[in-house]
Amino acid sequence: MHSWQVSKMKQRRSAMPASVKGGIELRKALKTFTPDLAKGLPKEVGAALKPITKSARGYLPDQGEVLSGWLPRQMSEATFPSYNARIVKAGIGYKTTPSKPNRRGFRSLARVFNKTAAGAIYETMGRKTPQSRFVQNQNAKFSQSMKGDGKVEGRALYRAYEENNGKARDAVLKAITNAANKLNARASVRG
Amino acid sequence: MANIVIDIASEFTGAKAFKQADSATQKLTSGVKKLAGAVGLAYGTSAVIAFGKASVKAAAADQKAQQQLALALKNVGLERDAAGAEGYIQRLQSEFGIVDDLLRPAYQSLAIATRDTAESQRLLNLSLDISAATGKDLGSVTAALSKAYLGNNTALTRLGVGISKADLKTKSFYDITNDLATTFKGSATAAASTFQGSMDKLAVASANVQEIIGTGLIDALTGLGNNDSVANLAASMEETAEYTADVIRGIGVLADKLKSLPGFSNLNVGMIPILGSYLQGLRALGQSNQIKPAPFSTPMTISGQSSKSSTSAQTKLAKETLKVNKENLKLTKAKAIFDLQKIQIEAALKGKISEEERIRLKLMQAIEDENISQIEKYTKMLDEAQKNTEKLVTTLASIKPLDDVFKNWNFMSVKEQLASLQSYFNGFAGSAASAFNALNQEQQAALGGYKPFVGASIPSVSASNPSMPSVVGLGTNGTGNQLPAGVTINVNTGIGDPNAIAEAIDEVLTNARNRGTLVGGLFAV
Repeated sequence: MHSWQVSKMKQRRSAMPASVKGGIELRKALKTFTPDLAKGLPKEVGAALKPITKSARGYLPDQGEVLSGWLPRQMSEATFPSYNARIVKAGIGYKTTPSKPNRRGFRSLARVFNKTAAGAIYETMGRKTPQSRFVQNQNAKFSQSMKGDGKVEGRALYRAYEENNGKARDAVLKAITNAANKLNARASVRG
Repeated sequence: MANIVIDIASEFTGAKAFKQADSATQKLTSGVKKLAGAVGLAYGTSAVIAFGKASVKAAAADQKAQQQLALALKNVGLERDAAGAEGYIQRLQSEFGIVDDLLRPAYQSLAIATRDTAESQRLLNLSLDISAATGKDLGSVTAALSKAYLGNNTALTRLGVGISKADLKTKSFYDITNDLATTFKGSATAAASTFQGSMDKLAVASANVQEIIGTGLIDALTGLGNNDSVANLAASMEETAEYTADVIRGIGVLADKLKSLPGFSNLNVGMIPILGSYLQGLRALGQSNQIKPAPFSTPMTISGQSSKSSTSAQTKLAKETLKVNKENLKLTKAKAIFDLQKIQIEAALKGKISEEERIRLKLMQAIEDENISQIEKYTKMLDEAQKNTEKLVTTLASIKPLDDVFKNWNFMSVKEQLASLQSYFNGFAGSAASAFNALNQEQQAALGGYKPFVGASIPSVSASNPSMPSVVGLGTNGTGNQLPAGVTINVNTGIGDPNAIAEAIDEVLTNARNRGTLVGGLFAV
């Protein structure tokens, strides 16, 4: 039997992750005792996260929709990251394996990310300097509206997460709950 | 770096930094408590009394250790370096966070062994590095080095510092310690720069504070209790401590009250009206009445100059050392006479041995004698011999084995061959007769008159070469130049020698041909 619980206090609709207690132990137990469930859980979690990443990729501009000076050049002229639509879109994804602990001691069990520098620039540009020439020019050419609040305000991933209305998080928690229940059920049958 | 990540679900597992911080906090708390105890803060009267006793004890022990070291140095002729050694130890303890209670015995043992200040300090530095790197206590390491300096290497090998027996036999102590210094260079400094090292330094500072306060208490009590018993001294000390603790506590309350006043930040005892001036005066009095150190009477030297007495003592010591060394050498040589190992090597050298074995034995002998030049010489020779051996082995391996020249020979004894031949001829005669009889007359006539015969008889060619009727044959007239009947052919030759067999067969056939029986008889078809 594995004690785990989801903190209801943390389940607000924001980027604040739901705190799961015993999630990593649950994964270990699943891998040891029920390999089929261990394989099924990441798939179920992935299925819940995939709509967010799919929407986020759709919000990213294509190669012809960004400023010409932002496109890749023959020779690198500066350290500012160039925008390659294929690479930026491929940089949006999800992971269901537990991460290393962060500085505050939390390990992520499921996460979505926008990992390229150019993707991050498009995601957050204009948060602090909406009147900058670069932001205005890009907005004039192509831009999606920003959604979210504070640090989780953005045009692609943050927007997709915001528009997901917490469905993904609920689905992830449900998948974890179901896996735990199935494990416990099998354990009680065997016991 | 871009860090656009949304954690959907996460789990708190605790960070490594938290554990480190927790451990560090506990250690710091412990250190601060000790320090607080040292300055008498946050403790009651009983704690102050206990601390006072401990301080006095620590100061006394420290003084005693200093005197012991000075005496030991004096006894080995290093009296003039006593003050320098004490300063060196103080520097080490502040630099590496090792209390002088450990450093003094270590330095003392090295000084007794080496009788040389520079060497003692070099070895103590090395000991600190080895101790920090291996985790062994300083006393064990210095004891091992002291013994090794005097020729006993066993303890050094047990330290597990990567010295082989070959090194111990071939290298000098100076070379070995230089190797060790290279191996463990900077270990003590590295250890001192860690958090634990910092805590050790704090502990050393705390111990020093205790000793300094203890020295002050001894000074004060010596002044107070000149005419009193020890019991009275103790009572005075406790009363003084209680009084001091109450004063400290009162000052604490006063400071707290003063803090509430606007524009007042820190308490300066000198600012307290009336009482402050008294306390300042008391402090000045205490400072002026510190017991001064005894005048330094040791004769000082500059740049190697020394007084006559110390020079003569050192000369005497050097002579004695030389004498002992010579006696040890003689003893070693005497022991060598009965050294079984050497005897066995000598005996083996007199036996019938190969050149390489002789070199090996000579090398063993040189190692036993600790003769470096011979060791080098025979090591080189052995290397060359081994290379030559390897070359020979390679050459031999490259030579292909000889093929078996007789592998295609079908060995059969001559008797068997002749028997087989006879059987063949018998069969041939029978089948030839049958075949001839089966022919019609025209066919028989077409053979030119030849027909098989059996038991034909012809006259002898000569008396010396008689011909006998052959058993079977083909002839025109029922006879032929057949092999004489009843002649047995004996071929005398060794079985298995193909050349002899071939020659024997050739001889038989030659004889048969010479006799005419081979051509006109059996094969005259």
